[in-house]
Amino acid sequence: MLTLTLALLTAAFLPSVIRGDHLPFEVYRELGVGVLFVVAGLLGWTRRPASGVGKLLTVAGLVWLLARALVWAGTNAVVFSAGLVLVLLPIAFLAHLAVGFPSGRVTAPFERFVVVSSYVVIIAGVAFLDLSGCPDCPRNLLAMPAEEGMGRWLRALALGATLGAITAFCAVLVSHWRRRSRAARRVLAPVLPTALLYAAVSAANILSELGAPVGLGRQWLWVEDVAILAVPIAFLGGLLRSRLARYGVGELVVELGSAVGGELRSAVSRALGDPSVEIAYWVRDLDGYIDAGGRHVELPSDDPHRAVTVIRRADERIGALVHDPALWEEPALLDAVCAAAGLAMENERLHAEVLARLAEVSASRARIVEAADAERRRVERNLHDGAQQRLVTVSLALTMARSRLAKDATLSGGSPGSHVGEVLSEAAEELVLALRELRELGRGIHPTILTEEGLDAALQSLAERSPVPVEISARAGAPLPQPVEAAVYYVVSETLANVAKYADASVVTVTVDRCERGLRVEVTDDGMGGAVARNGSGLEGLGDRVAALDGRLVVDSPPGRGTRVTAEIPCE
Amino acid sequence: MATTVVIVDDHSGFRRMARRMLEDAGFEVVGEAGDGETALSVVALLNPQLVLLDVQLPGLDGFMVAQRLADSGSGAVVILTSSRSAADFGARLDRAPAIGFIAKAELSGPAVARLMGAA
Repeated sequence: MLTLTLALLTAAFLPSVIRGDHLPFEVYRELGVGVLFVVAGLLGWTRRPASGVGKLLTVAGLVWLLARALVWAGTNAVVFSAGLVLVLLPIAFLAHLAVGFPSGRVTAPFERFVVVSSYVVIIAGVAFLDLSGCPDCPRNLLAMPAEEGMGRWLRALALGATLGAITAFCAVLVSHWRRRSRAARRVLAPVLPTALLYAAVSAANILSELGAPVGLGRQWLWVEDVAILAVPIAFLGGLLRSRLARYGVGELVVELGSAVGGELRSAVSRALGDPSVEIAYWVRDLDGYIDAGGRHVELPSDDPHRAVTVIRRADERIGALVHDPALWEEPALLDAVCAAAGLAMENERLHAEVLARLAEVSASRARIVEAADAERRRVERNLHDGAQQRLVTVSLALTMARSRLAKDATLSGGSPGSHVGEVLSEAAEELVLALRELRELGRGIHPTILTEEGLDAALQSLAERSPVPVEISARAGAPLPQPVEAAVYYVVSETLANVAKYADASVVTVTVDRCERGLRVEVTDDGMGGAVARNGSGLEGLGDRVAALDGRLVVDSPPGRGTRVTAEIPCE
Repeated sequence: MATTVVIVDDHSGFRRMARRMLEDAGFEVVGEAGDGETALSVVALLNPQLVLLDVQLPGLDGFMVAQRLADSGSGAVVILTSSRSAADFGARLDRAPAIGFIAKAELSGPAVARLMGAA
C-alpha cells in the first residue's frame, strides 16, 4: 500500500522533472525530505506503535510529497492552489509533533492553543505566499491582493500572528525541557535544538518578509535545507532514544526477571531512566507498604514531584513504583516496566516480607526483654515492700524481746543467758541471715541502684561487692536508654559472678566506652580461661539479652590465658 | 533529758516496733509520719532532735525530705534507714544531709545512740 503510494508519487514527479520546469537538484531535495520523513515515520511507527509520533511523521512525509506533486503537476489553478495548502501543512504537523513529543498527545490547554494556532497561521499563510519568483505558475486561487492597503495590513497581521505562534511554540518547547526529568530529556534532546533551529530560520524569513534586515542571504539558504532535513532525523533519534524502543519489552522482561536481591530497584531505575525510582511492596497482613529492607513506607500522596503507579498481577496489588511524574509522559514505557517488574517483584516482595517479619520479631524480642525487666522491677519492689518489711519488723521484735528478757532477768537477779534467751538469739541470727539472702535475691532480680543511681554507681557497687579486685573505667557519656543500661549491668554482673566462681583470677578490668556501633563493654580477667557459653548458661542468657538490642556478645577465653567478654550494643 | 525523735516510715508495723525499741533505749518518740509531706509538717511542728527517716517513701522520698529539712534550717539531725542495704543507694547516701544510715534489720537503741554520739 505504502510502496504503491510512493510509486504513484514518484510517477507524479516525473513529468515535471522531464519537462525541466524545476531544477533536478531542487526536485531531489524536496523528494529526499519527503522520503526521509516517511522512512523515519515508518521506523518510529513500527518501533513504538503506542506513540502517535511515527504515524504523524509518516503522514507529514506523504503530504509533503503529495503537495510537491500537485504544485509541480501542471497548469490547473485548483490543483495548484490545493497543492499550496498542502505544501505548508507538514510544517504545522511538525509543530504539533514537537509539542506532543514523545507521546504524540497534547493535553495542556495552552499547548493545544499553540498547536491549533500553528495550523491556522500556516493555512492562512497560503493567502500571502509570494509567488513572484515563478511567473509561469498557475494562479493561487486563495491569494489576497497583496499590494492594496487592506491586503497589506492583513498580510502583516498574518505574518505577525505566525511570528507569535513561532514564539509561543519555542516557549512551550523550552518549558518542556525545563520541566522534564533526566530520562525525558534524553528523549527530547535531539528534537529540541532542531525544532528551535527550524523555528528560528522561519522567524528570520518572516521578519525579512516584514522588511526587517534579518533575512538570510542567498548564501545561507543551505541552513534552511539542513534544518528541514534534520527534523525527521531528530524525531526518529528521539524516539529511538526512548528506553522502550532501545530495549524492547522482551529484553526488559529478561533484565528485570533476572534481577535478584536489591538489584530490582536499580534495574527498574535503569529501564525507566529515573534514578529516583523507589519500589514499595504491598503486604496485605500489614495493610501497608514496605521497602526492600522490610521497613514500613508511606507512599507520597500530595507531593507534586513524586508520582505513584500501583503494580498489579492478576488483579491483586503487589506493590507500587514511586517515580518522577515526568514518566507519565511515557505511559507505554511505564506500563511495560510495571508488567515486567511485577514478575520479579513477587520474589522481592517475599524477601522484603521476611525482612519485615524479622524486624517485627526483633522488635518483639526487645519488647519481651523490656517487659521481663519491668516485671523483675515489680517483683523486687513487691518483695521489698511486702515480705522483707515484715521480716525486718519481726527481726526488730526479736532483738527487742531479747533485750527486754535480759533486762527483766537482770532486774529479777536471774541469769541473762536463760534458755528462752538463747532461742531468741538463734531466731534473730537466722532472721538476719534470711534477710541478707532475701536482699541478695532481690538485688539479683533487679538492681535497685541501677534505677536509683544510674549505671556508674551500679557498676561501682558491683565492683565493691566482688571478691576479686575490680578496676573500672566507665565512660558511657550521655544517659543511656534503660534497656541498654540494664544489659550493660547484667553483662558486668554475670561476668564478675563467673570470675568469682570459676576463673581464679587476681584482678578484673571493666571498661565501658562509646564505640562506632554504640556502646562497648569489656570485662577482662587474668584467670584460667576456658569459659564457654553453654546452652542455658549465664553467658548464653547474656548473649540473648545483648542480641535483643541488636548487639553482640563475644567470649574470648583461651585456656590458661584469662577471659575477655566483650559486648557491643547499638544505642543512639 | 531524753532525745526527742520523730519516726518517718510508710509501714505502720515498723513505726510501732521502732517506737518501742527506741523508747526502751531511753529515747522520747514525740511523733510519727507515714509519708514525706507529713514528715515535713510534723517535724516543723514538734521540732524533734532526731528524725529516723525511711529512704523509700511514697511521694517525696527520704533523700528529698532530708534535703528540705536541711534547707529549712531545722535543728533536727537525720538518720536514714531502709530495709535495703547501704550498697543499694551508692553515693546518694554520702551526699545526703544525714548523720548516718542504719539498715532496718540492724536498728537498735545503741546503734542510734552511737551515731548521735558521733555526730
